[in-house]
Amino acid sequence: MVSNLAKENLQNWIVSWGKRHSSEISDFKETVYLIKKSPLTMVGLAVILILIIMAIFAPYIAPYDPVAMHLDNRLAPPSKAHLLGTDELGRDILSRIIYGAGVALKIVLIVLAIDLPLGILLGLAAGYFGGWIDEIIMRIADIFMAFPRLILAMAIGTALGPSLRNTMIAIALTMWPVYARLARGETLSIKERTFIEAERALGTSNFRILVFNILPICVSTLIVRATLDMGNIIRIAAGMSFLGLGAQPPTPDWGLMVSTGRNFLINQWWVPTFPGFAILLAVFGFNLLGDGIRDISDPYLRRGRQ
Amino acid sequence: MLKSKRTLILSLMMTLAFVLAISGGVYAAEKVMVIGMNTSPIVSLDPAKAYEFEGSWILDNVYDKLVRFKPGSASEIEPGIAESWEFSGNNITFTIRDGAKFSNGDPVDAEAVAYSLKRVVKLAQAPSWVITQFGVTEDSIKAIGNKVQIIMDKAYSPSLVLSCMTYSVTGTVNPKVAEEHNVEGDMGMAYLTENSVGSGPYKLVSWERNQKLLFEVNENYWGTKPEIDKIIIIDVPESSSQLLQLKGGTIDVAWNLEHDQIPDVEKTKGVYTLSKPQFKLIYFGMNGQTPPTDNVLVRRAVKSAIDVEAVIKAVGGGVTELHTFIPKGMFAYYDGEEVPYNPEKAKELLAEAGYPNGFEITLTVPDFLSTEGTVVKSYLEQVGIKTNLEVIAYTTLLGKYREQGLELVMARWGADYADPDANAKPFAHCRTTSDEATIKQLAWRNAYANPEFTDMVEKAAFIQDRDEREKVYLELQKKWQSDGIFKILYQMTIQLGLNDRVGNFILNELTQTPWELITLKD
Amino acid sequence: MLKYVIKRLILFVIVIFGVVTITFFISHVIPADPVGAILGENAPQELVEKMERQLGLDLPLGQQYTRYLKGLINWNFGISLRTQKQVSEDLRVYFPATMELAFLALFIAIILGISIGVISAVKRNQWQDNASRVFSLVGISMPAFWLGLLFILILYYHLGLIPAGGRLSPHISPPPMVSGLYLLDSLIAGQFRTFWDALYHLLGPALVLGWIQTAYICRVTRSSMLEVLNEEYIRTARVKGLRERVVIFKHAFRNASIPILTMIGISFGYMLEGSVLTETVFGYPGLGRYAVNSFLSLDLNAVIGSVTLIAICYALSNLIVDLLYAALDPRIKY
Repeated sequence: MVSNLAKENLQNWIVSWGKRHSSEISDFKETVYLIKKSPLTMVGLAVILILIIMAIFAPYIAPYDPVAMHLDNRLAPPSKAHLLGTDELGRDILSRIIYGAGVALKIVLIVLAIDLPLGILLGLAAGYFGGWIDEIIMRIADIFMAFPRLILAMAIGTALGPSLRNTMIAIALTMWPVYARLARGETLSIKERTFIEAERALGTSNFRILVFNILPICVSTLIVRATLDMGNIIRIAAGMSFLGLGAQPPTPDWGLMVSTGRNFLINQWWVPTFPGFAILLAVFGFNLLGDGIRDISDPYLRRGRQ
Repeated sequence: MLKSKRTLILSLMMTLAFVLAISGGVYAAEKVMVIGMNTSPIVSLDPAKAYEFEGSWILDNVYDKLVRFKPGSASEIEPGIAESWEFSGNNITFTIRDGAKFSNGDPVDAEAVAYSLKRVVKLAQAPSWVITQFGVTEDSIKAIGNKVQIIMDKAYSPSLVLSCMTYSVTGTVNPKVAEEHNVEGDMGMAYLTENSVGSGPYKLVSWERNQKLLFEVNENYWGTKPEIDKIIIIDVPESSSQLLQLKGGTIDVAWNLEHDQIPDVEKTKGVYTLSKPQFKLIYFGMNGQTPPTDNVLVRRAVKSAIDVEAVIKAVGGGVTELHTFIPKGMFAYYDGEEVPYNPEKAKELLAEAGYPNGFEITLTVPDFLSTEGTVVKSYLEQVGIKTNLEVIAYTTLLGKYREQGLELVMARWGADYADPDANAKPFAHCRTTSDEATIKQLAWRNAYANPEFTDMVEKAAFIQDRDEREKVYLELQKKWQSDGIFKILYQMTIQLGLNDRVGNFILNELTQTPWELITLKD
Repeated sequence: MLKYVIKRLILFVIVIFGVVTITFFISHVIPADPVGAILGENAPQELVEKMERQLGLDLPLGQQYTRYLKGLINWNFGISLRTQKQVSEDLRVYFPATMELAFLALFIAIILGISIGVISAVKRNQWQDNASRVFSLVGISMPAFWLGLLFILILYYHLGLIPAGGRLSPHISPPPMVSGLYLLDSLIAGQFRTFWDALYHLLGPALVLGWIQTAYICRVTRSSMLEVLNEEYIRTARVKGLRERVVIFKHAFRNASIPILTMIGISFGYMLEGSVLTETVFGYPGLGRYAVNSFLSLDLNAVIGSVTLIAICYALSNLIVDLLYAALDPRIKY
């Protein structure tokens, strides 16, 4: 009896939830439909899924230990035992590429984990309070944006000393202005809307308005933007590793692998070629997905498609 | 519309024709040799300032030194701009040869030689210590007639002094030119950075940084007449690009090939390889002051844990195995290995020293040794020493190193002259680890003072008898290996790729090549 | 409008001041021993200290900063430890090299990007469109250093179509310096062979840089063309029976050109960044490689000089884009 009652309650709740959120649900359904309809986005999604699987299950998928040296089997060409060959220390390149997915995703996630909150915090503050707070934050953002990203990341990376952690910090320091600007823009446009004014009239505190009314809208906009940036983050990190300002050996970092493999370009082409291809593929996947998500979330383009 | 299309096609065809003409290339009968080299280390081509292998290699052929090594040798001295010399007590007297001229026609006399040596002392640039270590001052260098007399503070071993005199820093510059371009008392140093007026077989014509250096024959050279009219060194930083360009025929000499590229050169028609062990070595060092490496047992354990054969394998072989600071081919070389690879022994020693579970430590290596660093890290971890590998730019490393701030380090060292003293001083001489030390070199940088070693190094520099001197060095090397803070990983070998038309390209252990002897077929 | 321009210019000045300040402090945090590095590993300690005093590296940071600002006004960054020359003199040589490369790459990118973009928009959702979208996405995703390596391997080594690197062949001397742009200087001096040789050496790096920027321009061209093609007046023009070609080029493209122009400006800024990796791979002696070498050898004055110059160019190109945008777009009112 009790269980039946609970079931009924649950069903009722689900139905009512569905009714209350009908617009969101249809929106979601439509989004899924749009993603399905766009083959390129599906490809992007697939690439990213593969990357994630590689990153999580690397120890089970990779045929060899990515850092174990086999000095008697250096620079072996691709074969059945080593599908993508071995590098200058006899390490299996395929295994290193598989583990490298984890490194690449870690960079993306940590950079965004620093930048999204930082950008939102600064952007919200600038947009909501305006005045000199806005002025100071946005001018600092302007200054940071006046550097080409790779150059600034190189400078910061050099100053902090080359390591994976510092690469992430350096890239994060170059990207926050983008998010701060976006969050500020959103805040400014939301601030003027009537419901915020109503809240304010009711005496709701600034903090509550920021956290419960403005923040959620900002977050979704910033996440869309973040998907567009993911590919770029991987590319900049790879560039820094390539120049010797990033990850340290024996980390299976793709950029580092291309960099050390450079000397083997002619005679052992597989050493630099496959890791480079992995970078291309990963960035390509993120860009496809980012493009797709942007198209879908852009109301104008969304209309245009139908 | 139609007309413009035709013009477009025409101009495209012209472009193509030009491109083909350029890539084909038709040149005058003049003999030109092109060398591909990473020229970025070259800071200056003033003999008083240049201190890199590449720069010295060039300067040996632009400026004349008092004496030099016989082609291909690093021990037998032959006359340079001085035709003879004489030692007496703490003096040396060089007799300058007659009739030698600078590339601009001015005569080379004893005054010019003395001026050049005084200039080195006065400018006090990095390589000046090669001369000043003998207590030489501006006043102790004198030109007397056609002779140059140098007075030292003590009677040093003649072979040591002469070895030092073969270094490019003693190159003779034209005093007139140097004084003409004197800017704020720099004795022409700014001018001579990128210009030359020497009396060597070649003269520097132009230097576009990061692009190329152009040398032409010095018509006034007193020695063997060079066969090649122009030598061009182009900047090709990567060994893989050098190999590509050697095979593609853009360059005749590829200066820094990696050993893994040698088989490819060997099987390619029309090119060949040349390799020569150098008086340069790669070493591993431990801090002698900070625990746990202040403990001699721990140091022995670490040394036993490293398999140098694996390191050599990892870099592709082609280098020379070496266990001591005196490189193979140099006087007083000791071929024994006191602390060989033995991981079991390493674990025992660690336990005995009170670290049965190992410890954690940071190994700092420059970017060009990242492979070696990776291998050593993995071997240290096999005996339980958790190693954080830090690969940084060489300049950053030197900065921390000079402040005695590294735990474990790996770097390279090149002897400045072909005498054991050149390496004994840096590797073993350190009386105190404080700022008062006289020689703040490798032992000091690793904060390791050993008075016994220091005494032996000082003593050996003055022993005139060759056998007795050798005995001291041999004993020093044994003790140094077992108790010291260093382990030598290998002796470096230079590997060149050459086009078949290049012949008689001679190299000695100090990376010296007489350009005037190189032959070039059409 | 004027008010906007003034405001934008003031902002530019603030940004430049910020840029030089940040550059200075970042480079002074770098834990380096630049002097020791230049003097070599064998150099004695006293010499290192003497040189540090000479260069003012022993002064307090604030004093060094004011010295630096004073120098900056005269465009004087001091002496590069690596090349032993005034940094400004070095920049005078390397900057034109990068400009030459960037302009050629931009030229390639504009021609290819716009034509592919227009085709893609007109043939929307047909195979041409999908092919060009994949092409441009691959371009955007391409690591420049890897593409450069592949170019060298395939186009130089296997096909012999481009030179392996450098700015001129070994036996060709650079033209007399006027602008520093070899292409221009060789024409001024009437040295056509040098001109072709310089152009030939630019091919590889320009194609690498160009492809990546082609991708960006292509994308913007496509989307802005699509936007315009949906507008009422285009439909009207079509209904009026105008030839499709006239509709596309005369009506649509003209109206779609503002975002494209903006993208071209932004692309130019990206080139400065891309040049770092491309020049390194091709051994091309430009500003990007100079910057990398300065970073790697921790040549502080050169680091500051090159980063400042790159950032100023970048900020300048952003400024021009903004002003152009304001001037061209009738919808924006200030």
